[in-house]
Amino acid sequence: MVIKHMIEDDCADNGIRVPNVRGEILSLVVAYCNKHGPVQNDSEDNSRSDELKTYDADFVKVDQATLFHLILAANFLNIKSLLDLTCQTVGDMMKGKTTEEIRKMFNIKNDLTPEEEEEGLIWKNLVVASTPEGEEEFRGENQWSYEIW
Amino acid sequence: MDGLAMLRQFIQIQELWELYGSSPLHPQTQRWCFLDLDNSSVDDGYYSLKMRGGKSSSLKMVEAIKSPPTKKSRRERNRDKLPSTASSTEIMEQHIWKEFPEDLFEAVIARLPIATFFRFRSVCRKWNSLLASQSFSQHCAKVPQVYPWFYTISHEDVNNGAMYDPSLKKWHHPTIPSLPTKMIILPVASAGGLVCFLDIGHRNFYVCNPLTLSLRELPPRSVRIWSRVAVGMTLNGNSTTNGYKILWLGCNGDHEVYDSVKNTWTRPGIIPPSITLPLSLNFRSQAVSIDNTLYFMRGDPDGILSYDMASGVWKEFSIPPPPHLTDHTLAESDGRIMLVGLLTKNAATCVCIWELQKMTLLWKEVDRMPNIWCLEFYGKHMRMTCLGNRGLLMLSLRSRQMNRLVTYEVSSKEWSKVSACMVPRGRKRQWIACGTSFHPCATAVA
Repeated sequence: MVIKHMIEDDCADNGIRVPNVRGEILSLVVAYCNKHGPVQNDSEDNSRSDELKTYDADFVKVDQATLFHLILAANFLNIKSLLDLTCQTVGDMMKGKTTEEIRKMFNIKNDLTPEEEEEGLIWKNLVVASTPEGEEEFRGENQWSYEIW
Repeated sequence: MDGLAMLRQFIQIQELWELYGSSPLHPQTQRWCFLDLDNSSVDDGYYSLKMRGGKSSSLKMVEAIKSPPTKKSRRERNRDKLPSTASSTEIMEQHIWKEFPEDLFEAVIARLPIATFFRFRSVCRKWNSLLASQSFSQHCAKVPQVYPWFYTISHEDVNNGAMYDPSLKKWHHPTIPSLPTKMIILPVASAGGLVCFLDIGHRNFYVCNPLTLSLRELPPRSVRIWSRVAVGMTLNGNSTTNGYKILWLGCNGDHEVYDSVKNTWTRPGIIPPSITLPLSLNFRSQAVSIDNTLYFMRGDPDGILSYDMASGVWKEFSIPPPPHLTDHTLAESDGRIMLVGLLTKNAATCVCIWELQKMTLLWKEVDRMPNIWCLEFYGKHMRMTCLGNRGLLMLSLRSRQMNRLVTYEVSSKEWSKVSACMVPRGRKRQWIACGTSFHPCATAVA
């Protein structure tokens, strides 16, 4: 939408300056927009959404540096669907990490007191269930119950 | 963007590439053309196939393709899921991610699974305070919710609810009591991530977000006799930030509406004389809400009673029930009204799903539980309770010795078994008494 506005406002005759976005990233973004841009009528909706899902899944199979820059580009250019997709991908990468690994990765300082840390953990099992170790503990229980069924 | 504008833009971008010195023929730009045949995209592929069940013309063909996957055992499905979990253990390179801008964290965190979000709250103070952040709330509202969770009460532990997460297929148990009361409280309705509870004496209402324990005790109603009531809940908009409304309805036509913005109960009027009284409400069936209208199940005559929360209009629809039907409840999926119930003929019992045909006002059977599962109920006296009636249904099937839990996804017609709810850190199973589905929303405030 950012570029579209620039074109519509007719200040794009001499080329659009997109100083925050590198060339190769921009080419990926353009490809994404071209794929997602045209709106189809209802009857083609389903096959098209399958096609888009596959496209999206492949689109984010890039190295981390590219993914990082894609997020920044999507945010700067205000392309909601691309931002959704890339943020979801980063979220998926973060899911299995411990809080210490998250802090290391994003270079975040732990400024919580131990009491404050405990406070939020109302549903302790909720928290435990999502770590790789928690998975093991719960898998044991669920397995047994499944056999009874 | 029309074709000409796109072309213009593309040409100008080409010129930019030359300016910045990058090659437009970078190998990365070609990557998306390759067809990826690994498990994760195949999973996505037939998942959307299942979604197409609604269109009648292609129904037969789609059913033929999808019938093997729906009968897949849980173990097989879990095996298929393994490749996607492998990517989450990928090492994230610190030199890249430490430059991640602060303002984009909210967008990423809003898309994490709820359980993960709660875990990461202890990363730092800023992340810990996200629940109270208005902008984070807005990010969460934009993320589409796929699966509801189920808040259930078991016979063994009536004071603590247990929640079932169908995406992880896990039961979660709280470490502190959900509600700070000594009475037994049962979930009766939900909307926008909030669950409405009524105590067992039908006196006091409570609204709570089960994830954050944000709680509100509703002011007392203006009645002197506390008879059994049916309850419905709707949102004033897309999220709880605009408030919510709760309606209670008694068999004699008495009703009141609670508005969370004003924090008061009001009597919007009397039920019109065209509605047959007494109502003979089916209390085992939870109300269904579609847009701003609530639908209740009634008997004498059998049918549905609807109330539009916005206009205050009551309507009655007489609909004959399917024969040999017991333990039936209303359900809803994508704006369609459904009925789920037990069909008992001779000694055989089966769970059936019907859809309401709006033109003829008749129930049409659209699905049944797989025969092989129904065999287990043969010759036994079965009771069924619906623990969640929106989009993804959860059913509790009980006989004297057993309690089976099943989920049914209406849009994809998929039946799944649910592992029993266990006593936390024990080997004893819990018997589920009642429950409601809710959309887990960390930022919903009661």
